[in-house]
Amino acid sequence: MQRSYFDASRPIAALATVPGESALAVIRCAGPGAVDLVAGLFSRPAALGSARSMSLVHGELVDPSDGAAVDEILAAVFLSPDGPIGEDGVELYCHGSPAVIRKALSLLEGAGFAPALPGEFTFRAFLHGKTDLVKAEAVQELVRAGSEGARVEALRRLEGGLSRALASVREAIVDVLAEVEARLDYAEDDDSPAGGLDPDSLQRIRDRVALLAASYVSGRLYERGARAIVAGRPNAGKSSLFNLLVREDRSIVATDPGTTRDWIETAIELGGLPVRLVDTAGLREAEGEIEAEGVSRSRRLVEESEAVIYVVDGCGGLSAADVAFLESRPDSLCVWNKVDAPSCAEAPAGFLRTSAATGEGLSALAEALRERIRPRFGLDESALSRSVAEGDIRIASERQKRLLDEAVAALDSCRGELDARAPLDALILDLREAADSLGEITGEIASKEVLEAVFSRFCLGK
Amino acid sequence: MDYEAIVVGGGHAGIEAALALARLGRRTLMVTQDIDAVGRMSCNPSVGGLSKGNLVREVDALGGQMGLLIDASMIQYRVLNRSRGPAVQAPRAQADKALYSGFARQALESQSSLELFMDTVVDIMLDSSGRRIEGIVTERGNRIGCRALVLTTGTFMEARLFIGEWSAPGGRLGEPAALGLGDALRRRGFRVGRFKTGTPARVKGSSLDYCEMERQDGEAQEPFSFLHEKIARPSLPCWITYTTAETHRVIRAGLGRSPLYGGAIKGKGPRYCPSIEDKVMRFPDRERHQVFVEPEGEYTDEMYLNGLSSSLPEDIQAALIHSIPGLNHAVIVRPAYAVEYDYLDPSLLYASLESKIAGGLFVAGQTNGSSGYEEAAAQGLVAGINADRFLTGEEALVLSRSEAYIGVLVDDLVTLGIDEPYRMFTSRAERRLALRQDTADTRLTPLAKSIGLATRERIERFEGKAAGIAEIKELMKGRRISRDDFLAMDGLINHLGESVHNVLRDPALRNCLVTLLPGLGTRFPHGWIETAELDARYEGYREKEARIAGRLERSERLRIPTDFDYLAMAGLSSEAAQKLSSTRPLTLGQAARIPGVRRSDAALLMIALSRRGTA
Repeated sequence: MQRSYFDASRPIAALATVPGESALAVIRCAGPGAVDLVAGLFSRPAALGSARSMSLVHGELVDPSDGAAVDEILAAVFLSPDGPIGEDGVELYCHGSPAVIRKALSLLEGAGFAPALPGEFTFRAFLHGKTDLVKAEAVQELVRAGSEGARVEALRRLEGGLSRALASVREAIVDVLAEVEARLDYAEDDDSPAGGLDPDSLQRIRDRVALLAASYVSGRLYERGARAIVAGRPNAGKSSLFNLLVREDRSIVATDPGTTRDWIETAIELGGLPVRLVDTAGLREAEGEIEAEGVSRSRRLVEESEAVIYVVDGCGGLSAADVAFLESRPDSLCVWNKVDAPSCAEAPAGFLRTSAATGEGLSALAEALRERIRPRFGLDESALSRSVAEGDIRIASERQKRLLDEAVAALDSCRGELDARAPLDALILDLREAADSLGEITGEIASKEVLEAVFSRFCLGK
Repeated sequence: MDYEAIVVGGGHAGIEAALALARLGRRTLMVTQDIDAVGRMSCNPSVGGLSKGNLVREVDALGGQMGLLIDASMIQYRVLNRSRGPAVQAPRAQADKALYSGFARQALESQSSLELFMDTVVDIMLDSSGRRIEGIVTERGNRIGCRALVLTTGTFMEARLFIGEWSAPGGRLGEPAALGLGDALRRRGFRVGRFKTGTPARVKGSSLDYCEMERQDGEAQEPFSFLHEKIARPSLPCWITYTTAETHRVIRAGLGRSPLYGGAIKGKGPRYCPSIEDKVMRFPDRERHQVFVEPEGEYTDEMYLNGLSSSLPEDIQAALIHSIPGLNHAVIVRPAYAVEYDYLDPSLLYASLESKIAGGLFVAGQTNGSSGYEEAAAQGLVAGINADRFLTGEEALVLSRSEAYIGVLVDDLVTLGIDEPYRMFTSRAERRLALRQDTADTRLTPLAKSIGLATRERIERFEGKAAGIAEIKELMKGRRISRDDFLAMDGLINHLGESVHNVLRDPALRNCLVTLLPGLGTRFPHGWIETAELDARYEGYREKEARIAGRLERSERLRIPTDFDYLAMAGLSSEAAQKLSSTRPLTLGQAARIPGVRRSDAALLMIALSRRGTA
């Protein structure tokens, strides 16, 4: 029978590191009786069973059926309420051989551990008050983080930056609520505070929530990267420039082909900003029926991109097609390529001079591209450095965005009612709704649906 | 069996419980220490106020007595919070205390099937299983049998009075405490706690300087009871004055002699109704505190100093009173005093107010740790109705939180438990807009009818009013805005073609009804029109409120089986598991509101329950 998704009564275990060959693998075990169960598979069961919380025990993982040693391991013991999950648990540090890992997991299962479901560890941490929903979502992002910026963002959320920002603005709403409630609950002649809701403090709160909501777009960009497309007529030198730009980012680890074989997309990082650079070299102009599809796909790519690098062959000069494209996408970064060639014409105003052959102008192009996408991240130069250094806060999940939008809408509605001079007992509804929406983000108010939605998107062992 | 039901105590809870039981045909005995003291108002001479006025109207709509008593004895009437929205407006009336108590006695004495008996109860009798009530034992050794018992002991159980260094047993100044019962219940395993409350001094009215105080007159009187059309009672003024820097100095200097600050009183007092020494100490920045000087009745010169409750020694009381403008020469008739008394932990009650420890035992009023006449009356009525239902084997009456303040009150008491005297507030109700005082009859009178507590007169009046309001709403829906109306009021231009019923939702046009349907006033009573108008004006807000409350409602309504084993549930904090095991909440909503149950406990419980539900 399929085990229930969130059954906290059973001990669970899973590999916490990436599967495959590696120096070290970590297997996480937690739940009722976890320490004793692992002790049954350990060469020094007494030492493990009596280990203090948050201590390491050295020994061997042993197959109880024949007493054979499986691996030499370190076991980290956590006793409730310590540790990342808050339950009794053991983390096993073993050698990262797939055979060892397979054997260890099967022994654990034999000892009574159920294989952990995605997100189950984090879910239990939530149940034990070790994390809130925002932090739980940050764990997901940290695991998937595509760039240094995204990683820093997620880490910050995990540390509770966003939770604190939400809690602080929610507190401001609750303060106003409490004041209004006090007014409603004591008669006018009872010396209670006079007056109604202050529109200015309401506006300030509303702006703070709106600011958090607006950070969504940039937050998503951090996770996915801004898309920059390299476009131009055939033989303008797009692919060479693309490759040179990719090489500008020395940290690049992998080139991942696009979802179709028509274009190539690579994640690079420009000064802390994640960029997905797209080469449309595979897409040719429409010469026949078959090519038309490629062209329309190319157009769609251009439309969906945060930036366009439009490459013109300096030897061929500006064609009618180039002019037409640049008119349709006037924010393109215009590049006058092949400036090393003797036949190259003078670059028109506003064009960046580059040579894929000599590398001339490449740094300037990279810098210009970064400048072009920077506003999309909602940053000016100082804000970026500040956010990296101090922890500016951004939201990153659809769920958070929706609830923040709801809170803004409720606060706007409250302002509208206030302006229409609606009575205080009616106004207060919007405030309550705003406070509830913010509370739902961190899980203070959570339904089962929300919990399952958040935790089921996890990868195993986190 | 001597009686089917016995009610212990003749205060505001006991009156409602006894009358409800007797009206439902139960052979009922009320045992009280002093028949002359039934329905006595121990503290302020007023009934109603914010959310409490709603409670009174709900008690009346359910067939209770309190609304009738205050209507017959009021000496001033006001509607509070007119400026703050209809849902939080409530009526309050000053009462002639002697008259109130007299009418209460008359109601009890003229009630068939009800007997009164003067004695003090010192113990309860249980059957051989120890789990079911069989009767009472009194101070004079009477053993009286019954199948259902309602305990409404007010501030009398093991009570002690305090004035400065003086202290003596007593439930009200000059009235003996009920000694023995609290200790007997302790021995029987009830959880008994101590609370404290206080009352201010009464002064001789003719010794006051009225020109030093601000006069506060009443408004045109309106009845609390839905049975009354109009009220014609005398209207006496109240007076407002303020404490001074000298008052605060006197209090600070005398604090060392306060039983509360000296530690003689252990019980916790009501935070929402603090003594003057508490107010001065807790709000050192406040330069003055308000004092209402209120008449205690039409035929007495005694005046009540609302806001000056205290347990300071009498010489300090005199000095502090004399430092207040208008009271400089006040002659003190009765001193202020504090009273400390036993209450029973209400989390050991079911929502029917029946004890989880002893079947057939119901508890109501201050014995449950509440404060206030209105809160007591509401519980007394519920306890009386459910004691009757216990006797007939019918399912208990449990009002929901969105149905009545009474529902909020009972649910809060039995699920939250209490650590200070409980007072009702409108903010305790999630569906406040649905609990307007003028709609109490719509919400509860049909229930009263099915219970058997609505007289024919009440039913006829209610049905007439309901039909009238429906007719007014039809007229409002049928009257549409035309171009001819534009000149009559600004803003109507935005509502061309809409019905008046719809236009009322526009806050800027809240007063449009008189202009657009001027004929209503001659055809229908003012109150009916107002109810129909508020229903229309608040329709949108009520929907919004329901939506907000509904956000939590799904989990709120998730039922927890009464045999649910919390201790066996992995992951629950041990504190939560214990609290849940002892409280046994009926729904997840109740569980989540129990102090000590953390968010994560509730989440875990929710998942366990929904799994059970689908298994």
